[in-house]
Amino acid sequence: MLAQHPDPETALRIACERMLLSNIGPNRGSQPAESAGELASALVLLAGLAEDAAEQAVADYSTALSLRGVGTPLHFRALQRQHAQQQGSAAPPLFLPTVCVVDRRVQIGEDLTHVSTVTFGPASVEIVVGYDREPATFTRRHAALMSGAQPGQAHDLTVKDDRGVTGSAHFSGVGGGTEWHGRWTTQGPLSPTTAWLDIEGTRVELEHAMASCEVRVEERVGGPLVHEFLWDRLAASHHHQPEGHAVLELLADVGLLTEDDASFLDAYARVVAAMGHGRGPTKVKNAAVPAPWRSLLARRNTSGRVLFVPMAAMTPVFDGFQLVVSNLRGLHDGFEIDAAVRGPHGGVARSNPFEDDGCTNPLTWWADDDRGNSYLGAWNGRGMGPDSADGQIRFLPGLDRRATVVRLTPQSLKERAVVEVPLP
Amino acid sequence: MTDILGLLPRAIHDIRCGDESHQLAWSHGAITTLDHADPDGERTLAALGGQRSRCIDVLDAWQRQRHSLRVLAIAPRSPADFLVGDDLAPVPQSGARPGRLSSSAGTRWSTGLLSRVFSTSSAYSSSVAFGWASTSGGTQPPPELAGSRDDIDLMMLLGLGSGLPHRLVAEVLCHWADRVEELPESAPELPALTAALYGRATAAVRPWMGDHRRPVEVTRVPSGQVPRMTADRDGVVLEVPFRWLTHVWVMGLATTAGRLALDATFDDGAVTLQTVGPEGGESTPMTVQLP
Repeated sequence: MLAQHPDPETALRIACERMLLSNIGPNRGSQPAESAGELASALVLLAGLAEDAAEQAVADYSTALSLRGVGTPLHFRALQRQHAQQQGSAAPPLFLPTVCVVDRRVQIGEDLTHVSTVTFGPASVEIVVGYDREPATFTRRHAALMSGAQPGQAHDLTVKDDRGVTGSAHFSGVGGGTEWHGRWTTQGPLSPTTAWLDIEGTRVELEHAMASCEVRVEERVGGPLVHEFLWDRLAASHHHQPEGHAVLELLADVGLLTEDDASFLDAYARVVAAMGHGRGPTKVKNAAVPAPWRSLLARRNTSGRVLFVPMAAMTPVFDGFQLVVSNLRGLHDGFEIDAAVRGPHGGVARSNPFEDDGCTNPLTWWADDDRGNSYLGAWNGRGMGPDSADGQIRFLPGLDRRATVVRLTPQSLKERAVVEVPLP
Repeated sequence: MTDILGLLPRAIHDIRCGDESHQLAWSHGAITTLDHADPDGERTLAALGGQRSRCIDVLDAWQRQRHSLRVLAIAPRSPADFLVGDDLAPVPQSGARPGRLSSSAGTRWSTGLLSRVFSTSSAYSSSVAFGWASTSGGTQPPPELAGSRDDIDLMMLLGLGSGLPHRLVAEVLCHWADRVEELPESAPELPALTAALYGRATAAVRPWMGDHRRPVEVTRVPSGQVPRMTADRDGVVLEVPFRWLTHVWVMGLATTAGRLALDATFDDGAVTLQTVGPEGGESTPMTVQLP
């Protein structure tokens, strides 16, 4: 006989049955908001479900759903597995880059180029540039590609440091009209302490003035783990709010959510409603919304401070993750950092409910400042592998103009890193 | 114990094997080929490098999967629950050359059901379901693209026609029905068995009640306990033994004469069903003479 609260695997499989039954008969083709993998992750993290049992259940029901036209077709999954195996897990090691601000317009070849920053890494140098018209680089590259050249072959440029080391750089970028931006990347390293770079005969002076950041790791202090999990889940999907209730139902099934959690669920529902779920935010009294969401929602349309902070920081390993954050850029509607994460799936949550893979314990990118404001970040362009993610994190809302310190607090379910970035 | 498998009608399935049309026959819980006189001899030859035949592949896959709990998770829950293979099963163009992998040129994608591919294609073995096939009669997918052996078996078996997939499910259920009562509460098989009961019972109750979103709670009770159903505006609670799956669901008796069968006993060519109406309550017997 079924117990009052079934064991986690039984609860998971019954939740998956519900998902599958919603694709039988007249309901066929309805897309579940949550995947079997997402349900399994919740029980692995919170209810002690063994990972191998969870993986078997996910495999069973992902196959079952595929054969009902839902989710990833089987042969795609076979190809994904093959791709993952080929990729291996050898992500490049993390490094602490040296970042220099330039912020000057210089003539490079035929193009008046705005050089923003130069970032030195162990294997290359990135020169971030902008143009106010289509650069000749683009035009020539397009012509070369049309005539059969390989991308990156045709339009290298030469970069030299003050030690006499020379590197060849290739360009990547996008744009249109009067706004073009991109980066030149050298194929080898240059001296990170060089006072200047010579780019195609034009000397560009470098300012070595990186912000000094304090870094630490601390345990998360909050409510019950199940509450923190649900808040994290909401935070990790704040650009595409979780629509379904299957995870909540499942947690109730196994007894992790009970009537004692009523006040938490009320607060959770208020935040979900206030965030909008893609149907437009509902007006909710701010006082009714818990921190850190209250500040986030109160300031969500405020214009931010525009600035660039050259910085780089590497965290210790926490909960299986290690990361480097660098180059804080204040924008009108938020701010952005470069981020490199090493750890399972780069700490990236599944981007859609049909992915079998994905981090069971994704990182949540919160930040706050010394004015009591909160910010929430999400990947805004990234590359990722089985154990890495590299790209940019975009935080919302814009930086408070009066803030003098912003604290980046990427967090897993149990721990968080704190990177304090002084603002000029 | 009732021989449920013996009560199911015999099934004959036509299958392309090499260049010929062969038949597989299922009866009383055993599947056989009617066209291969010495399957064991063929297996030996295949192990020595000879060509495998599709009929023998099916028989071998069947033996591997006839107790598999994965079958219960993947196979249909009801007649309305059919499996599709629109983008799983490539059908080779007629000009495909022997030995050529159809995942590249020479392939078009099927718009039919899995069964359409598996029941009509001669040289396309289980590997077809994963996007490759060899017209030489070989049956092994390229190792780098292969799913698990289980996946390959199941795609082949669940794509068979003529009621064979249902009989495979029946064999799995009968195997476990004989054991479920003796399993300890911590047995690793119980979650899958409990889910199998939940899914199939719910798939029977909802259309019977005309409400495909009706909350249904299913409790597995010991075989000696009287099964029952209660229904109110919050949903339906069903308390049935695991043998509901073998005695009722497998036999296609879940809804009979507008009533839901909670249990069945078989005696001398007749089946007596314990049935309830949509309002639940005390079950009443209904006897059906079997052909």
